[in-house]
Amino acid sequence: MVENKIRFFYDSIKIVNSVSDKRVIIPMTVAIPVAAALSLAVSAAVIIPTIVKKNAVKSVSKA
Amino acid sequence: MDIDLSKLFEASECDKALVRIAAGNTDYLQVIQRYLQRTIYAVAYSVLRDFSLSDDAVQETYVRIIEKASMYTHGTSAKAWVVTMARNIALDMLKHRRYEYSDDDIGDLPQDRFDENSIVLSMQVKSALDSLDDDDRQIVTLKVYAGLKHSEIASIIGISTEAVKKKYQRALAKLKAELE
Repeated sequence: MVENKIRFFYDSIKIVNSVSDKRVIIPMTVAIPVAAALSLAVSAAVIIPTIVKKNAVKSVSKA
Repeated sequence: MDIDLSKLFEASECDKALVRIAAGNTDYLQVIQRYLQRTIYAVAYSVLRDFSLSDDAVQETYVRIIEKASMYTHGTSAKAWVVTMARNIALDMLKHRRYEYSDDDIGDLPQDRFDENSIVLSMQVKSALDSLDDDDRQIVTLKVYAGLKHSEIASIIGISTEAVKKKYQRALAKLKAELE
Protein backbone atom coordinates (compact mmCIF):
# COMPACT_ATOMS: atom_id res chain seq x y z
CA MET A 1 0.00 0.00 0.00
CA VAL A 2 1.27 3.42 -0.92
CA GLU A 3 0.25 4.80 2.48
CA ASN A 4 2.64 2.36 4.16
CA LYS A 5 5.45 3.45 1.85
CA ILE A 6 4.85 7.10 2.78
CA ARG A 7 4.90 6.21 6.49
CA PHE A 8 8.07 4.17 5.95
CA PHE A 9 9.76 7.17 4.29
CA TYR A 10 8.98 9.58 7.10
CA ASP A 11 9.76 6.96 9.75
CA SER A 12 13.18 6.36 8.15
CA ILE A 13 14.44 9.93 8.24
CA LYS A 14 17.10 10.55 10.88
CA ILE A 15 16.16 13.77 12.61
CA VAL A 16 19.09 15.91 13.75
CA ASN A 17 18.98 18.48 16.54
CA SER A 18 19.88 21.49 14.50
CA VAL A 19 23.21 23.12 15.33
CA SER A 20 22.20 26.18 13.36
CA ASP A 21 19.55 26.98 15.90
CA LYS A 22 21.14 29.41 18.33
CA ARG A 23 18.17 29.54 20.66
CA VAL A 24 18.50 27.93 24.04
CA ILE A 25 15.50 26.90 26.05
CA ILE A 26 16.33 27.94 29.62
CA PRO A 27 14.15 26.78 32.50
CA MET A 28 12.57 29.69 34.39
CA THR A 29 14.30 28.59 37.63
CA VAL A 30 17.60 29.43 35.95
CA ALA A 31 16.53 32.33 33.76
CA ILE A 32 15.25 34.60 36.54
CA PRO A 33 18.36 34.55 38.79
CA VAL A 34 20.60 34.85 35.73
CA ALA A 35 18.61 37.84 34.50
CA ALA A 36 18.78 39.43 37.96
CA ALA A 37 22.54 38.91 38.20
CA LEU A 38 23.07 40.37 34.74
CA SER A 39 20.94 43.35 35.64
CA LEU A 40 22.99 44.00 38.80
CA ALA A 41 26.24 43.67 36.88
CA VAL A 42 25.10 46.19 34.27
CA SER A 43 23.93 48.60 36.94
CA ALA A 44 27.23 48.27 38.80
CA ALA A 45 29.14 48.87 35.57
CA VAL A 46 27.28 52.15 35.17
CA ILE A 47 27.04 53.35 38.79
CA ILE A 48 30.57 52.58 40.06
CA PRO A 49 32.44 54.61 37.42
CA THR A 50 29.98 57.48 38.05
CA ILE A 51 30.72 57.42 41.80
CA VAL A 52 34.47 57.23 41.17
CA LYS A 53 34.23 60.14 38.74
CA LYS A 54 32.20 62.23 41.22
CA ASN A 55 34.72 61.56 43.98
CA ALA A 56 37.54 62.45 41.66
CA VAL A 57 35.84 65.74 40.80
CA LYS A 58 35.31 66.49 44.53
CA SER A 59 38.98 65.78 45.26
CA VAL A 60 40.07 68.13 42.51
CA SER A 61 37.67 70.85 43.75
CA LYS A 62 39.03 70.59 47.34
CA ALA A 63 42.65 70.70 46.18
CA MET B 1 -16.23 0.79 15.36
CA ASP B 2 -12.58 0.07 16.17
CA ILE B 3 -11.09 2.38 18.76
CA ASP B 4 -7.34 2.89 18.65
CA LEU B 5 -6.53 3.10 22.34
CA SER B 6 -2.92 4.07 21.72
CA LYS B 7 -4.05 7.08 19.71
CA LEU B 8 -6.53 8.09 22.40
CA PHE B 9 -3.80 7.80 25.02
CA GLU B 10 -1.40 9.86 22.89
CA ALA B 11 -4.03 12.56 22.39
CA SER B 12 -4.75 12.70 26.12
CA GLU B 13 -1.06 12.86 27.06
CA CYS B 14 -0.31 15.64 24.57
CA ASP B 15 -3.35 17.60 25.72
CA LYS B 16 -2.24 17.38 29.37
CA ALA B 17 1.35 18.23 28.40
CA LEU B 18 0.31 21.46 26.65
CA VAL B 19 -1.73 22.49 29.68
CA ARG B 20 1.26 21.90 31.94
CA ILE B 21 3.65 23.71 29.60
CA ALA B 22 1.23 26.65 29.64
CA ALA B 23 1.42 26.57 33.45
CA GLY B 24 5.19 26.99 33.23
CA ASN B 25 6.36 23.40 33.44
CA THR B 26 8.49 23.20 30.30
CA ASP B 27 9.72 19.69 31.18
CA TYR B 28 6.46 18.46 29.64
CA LEU B 29 7.81 19.46 26.24
CA GLN B 30 9.44 16.02 26.36
CA VAL B 31 5.97 14.47 26.08
CA ILE B 32 5.30 16.45 22.90
CA GLN B 33 8.71 15.42 21.58
CA ARG B 34 8.07 11.76 22.35
CA TYR B 35 4.73 11.59 20.57
CA LEU B 36 4.91 14.28 17.91
CA GLN B 37 8.53 14.91 16.89
CA ARG B 38 8.28 12.78 13.74
CA THR B 39 4.92 14.24 12.85
CA ILE B 40 6.25 17.79 13.27
CA TYR B 41 9.25 16.91 11.12
CA ALA B 42 7.12 15.30 8.41
CA VAL B 43 4.80 18.31 8.22
CA ALA B 44 7.76 20.70 8.04
CA TYR B 45 9.40 18.54 5.36
CA SER B 46 6.22 18.41 3.30
CA VAL B 47 6.44 22.22 3.11
CA LEU B 48 10.19 22.78 2.90
CA ARG B 49 11.43 19.64 1.09
CA ASP B 50 14.76 20.22 2.79
CA PHE B 51 16.04 17.90 5.54
CA SER B 52 18.22 20.45 7.38
CA LEU B 53 15.64 23.22 7.26
CA SER B 54 13.10 20.74 8.59
CA ASP B 55 15.41 20.08 11.57
CA ASP B 56 15.41 23.83 12.23
CA ALA B 57 11.64 23.99 11.89
CA VAL B 58 11.27 21.26 14.51
CA GLN B 59 13.42 23.20 16.99
CA GLU B 60 11.56 26.41 16.24
CA THR B 61 8.27 24.61 16.81
CA TYR B 62 9.36 23.55 20.28
CA VAL B 63 10.32 27.12 21.17
CA ARG B 64 7.01 28.39 19.83
CA ILE B 65 5.05 25.76 21.78
CA ILE B 66 6.58 27.04 24.99
CA GLU B 67 5.78 30.63 24.04
CA LYS B 68 2.21 29.97 22.90
CA ALA B 69 1.02 27.02 24.99
CA SER B 70 -1.32 29.31 26.92
CA MET B 71 -3.27 29.80 23.69
CA TYR B 72 -4.08 26.08 23.44
CA THR B 73 -7.63 25.13 24.47
CA HIS B 74 -7.66 22.14 26.78
CA GLY B 75 -9.73 19.26 25.37
CA THR B 76 -9.28 20.13 21.71
CA SER B 77 -6.84 18.37 19.37
CA ALA B 78 -3.30 18.90 20.65
CA LYS B 79 -1.89 17.28 17.55
CA ALA B 80 -3.81 19.56 15.18
CA TRP B 81 -2.69 22.58 17.23
CA VAL B 82 0.98 21.57 17.14
CA VAL B 83 0.83 20.58 13.47
CA THR B 84 -0.73 23.92 12.54
CA MET B 85 2.10 25.70 14.34
CA ALA B 86 4.77 23.57 12.66
CA ARG B 87 3.26 24.16 9.22
CA ASN B 88 3.09 27.93 9.76
CA ILE B 89 6.70 28.01 10.90
CA ALA B 90 7.78 26.03 7.83
CA LEU B 91 5.79 28.33 5.54
CA ASP B 92 7.46 31.38 7.11
CA MET B 93 10.87 29.79 6.62
CA LEU B 94 10.02 29.07 2.99
CA LYS B 95 9.00 32.67 2.49
CA HIS B 96 12.08 34.14 4.12
CA ARG B 97 14.76 31.75 3.02
CA ARG B 98 17.89 33.57 1.97
CA TYR B 99 19.42 31.03 -0.37
CA GLU B 100 18.44 29.80 -3.77
CA TYR B 101 16.83 26.39 -3.87
CA SER B 102 19.01 24.19 -6.05
CA ASP B 103 17.52 21.25 -7.90
CA ASP B 104 20.03 19.05 -6.08
CA ASP B 105 18.27 19.78 -2.83
CA ILE B 106 15.08 18.31 -4.26
CA GLY B 107 16.45 15.46 -6.34
CA ASP B 108 19.12 13.93 -4.13
CA LEU B 109 18.69 11.88 -1.00
CA PRO B 110 21.31 12.68 1.66
CA GLN B 111 22.77 9.28 2.46
CA ASP B 112 23.53 10.14 6.09
CA ARG B 113 19.82 10.63 6.77
CA PHE B 114 18.78 7.08 5.96
CA ASP B 115 19.88 3.56 6.80
CA GLU B 116 21.21 1.49 3.89
CA ASN B 117 18.18 -0.79 3.75
CA SER B 118 15.75 2.13 3.43
CA ILE B 119 17.57 4.26 0.86
CA VAL B 120 16.12 2.79 -2.34
CA LEU B 121 12.46 2.92 -1.30
CA SER B 122 12.94 6.30 0.41
CA MET B 123 14.42 7.74 -2.76
CA GLN B 124 11.38 6.55 -4.75
CA VAL B 125 8.90 7.94 -2.21
CA LYS B 126 10.77 11.25 -1.93
CA SER B 127 10.76 11.64 -5.69
CA ALA B 128 7.05 10.83 -5.85
CA LEU B 129 6.17 13.25 -3.03
CA ASP B 130 8.32 16.00 -4.56
CA SER B 131 6.39 15.65 -7.82
CA LEU B 132 3.11 16.60 -6.12
CA ASP B 133 1.76 20.14 -5.86
CA ASP B 134 2.60 21.83 -2.56
CA ASP B 135 -0.96 21.57 -1.21
CA ASP B 136 -1.34 17.94 -2.34
CA ARG B 137 1.94 16.92 -0.71
CA GLN B 138 0.98 18.59 2.55
CA ILE B 139 -2.51 17.07 2.48
CA VAL B 140 -1.14 13.56 1.91
CA THR B 141 1.37 14.00 4.74
CA LEU B 142 -1.21 15.44 7.12
CA LYS B 143 -3.64 12.60 6.34
CA VAL B 144 -1.36 9.59 6.01
CA TYR B 145 1.38 10.44 8.49
CA ALA B 146 -0.10 12.95 10.92
CA GLY B 147 -3.38 11.00 10.90
CA LEU B 148 -5.57 14.09 10.85
CA LYS B 149 -9.19 14.09 9.70
CA HIS B 150 -10.19 15.72 6.41
CA SER B 151 -12.00 18.46 8.34
CA GLU B 152 -8.91 19.22 10.47
CA ILE B 153 -6.74 19.36 7.33
CA ALA B 154 -9.25 21.66 5.67
CA SER B 155 -9.03 24.02 8.62
CA ILE B 156 -5.23 24.00 8.56
CA ILE B 157 -4.81 24.43 4.80
CA GLY B 158 -7.69 26.89 4.49
CA ILE B 159 -9.85 25.06 1.96
CA SER B 160 -13.13 23.15 2.20
CA THR B 161 -13.35 19.58 3.49
CA GLU B 162 -14.67 18.47 0.10
CA ALA B 163 -11.66 20.04 -1.62
CA VAL B 164 -9.34 18.20 0.77
CA LYS B 165 -11.02 14.87 0.01
CA LYS B 166 -10.75 15.41 -3.75
CA LYS B 167 -7.14 16.58 -3.61
CA TYR B 168 -6.21 13.70 -1.32
CA GLN B 169 -7.78 11.08 -3.59
CA ARG B 170 -6.14 12.59 -6.65
CA ALA B 171 -2.72 12.83 -4.99
CA LEU B 172 -2.95 9.28 -3.67
CA ALA B 173 -3.88 7.96 -7.14
CA LYS B 174 -0.85 9.74 -8.59
CA LEU B 175 1.44 8.32 -5.91
CA LYS B 176 0.05 4.81 -6.47
CA ALA B 177 0.75 5.08 -10.18
CA GLU B 178 4.37 5.95 -9.40
CA LEU B 179 5.05 3.67 -6.47
CA GLU B 180 3.03 0.51 -7.05
